[in-house]
Amino acid sequence: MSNAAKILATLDKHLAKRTSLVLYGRAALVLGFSGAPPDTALSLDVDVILTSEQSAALDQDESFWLALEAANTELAPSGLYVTHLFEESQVILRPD
Amino acid sequence: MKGQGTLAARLGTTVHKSVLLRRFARRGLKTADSIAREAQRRGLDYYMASDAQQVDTPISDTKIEELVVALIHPCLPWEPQRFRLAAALMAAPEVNADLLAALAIQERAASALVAIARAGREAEPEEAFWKNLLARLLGEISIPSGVMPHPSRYMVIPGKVRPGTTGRPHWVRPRMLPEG
Repeated sequence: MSNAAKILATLDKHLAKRTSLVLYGRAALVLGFSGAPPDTALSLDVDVILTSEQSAALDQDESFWLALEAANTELAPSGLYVTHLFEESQVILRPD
Repeated sequence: MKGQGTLAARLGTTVHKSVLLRRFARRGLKTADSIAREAQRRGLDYYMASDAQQVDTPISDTKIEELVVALIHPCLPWEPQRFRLAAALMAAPEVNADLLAALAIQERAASALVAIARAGREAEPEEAFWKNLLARLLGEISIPSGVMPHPSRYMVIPGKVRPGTTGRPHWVRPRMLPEG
């Protein structure tokens, strides 16, 4: 199991309700593509892009933030975490 | 959340939604100023304005490492005074370098932490804490000039203390820390 899968399975365990998240970065590559480079399985975190609407909705959903905290606490001994949540306006894609 | 005026903007990067700042807000520390006041209560009261109002709820269960990272958080407004509080607080003897580095990486606050730790290593080369901390913050991190305070701002520099004698500069540390 990749680190990304472990992180998301841990988060999923703590979520109080069904929550859709858009991944990007190495976690997205390892989970979305069978031919992803091997090092993508070793990423220590999961990056998430939130639409402005989803971001505003999650701001009002304390259970989501508590789930994130609980997941990070559970993952801490292994050095894994999920904390990098960016609004779509903060994500810049470059050719490199 | 566009990030204008934040440390992140000064560093040329973006802001994110922080789990740590969310937790602080849940415990009553909703602004950068309230986080600074919490640091002042942890033994840095000499940074506190004499007319400061004590309006926040102290969060004594917050780890000192969490407070340091919050003080230098890239998603908060750029404010050099908070970086000075962080520099002093992280030099407290009970600070865990492993935990501090891990939290800073998680919260994308490593740049500011590295800048302060480099200044600490320069000021106190005999102090293992700074070397240990920098060893855990791998990679080359460059910080645009003028973003972080001059290293002298983290220190007390006595200057001439009596004829022919100059006092030894020393890193500012907390006066006292709450138990636990």
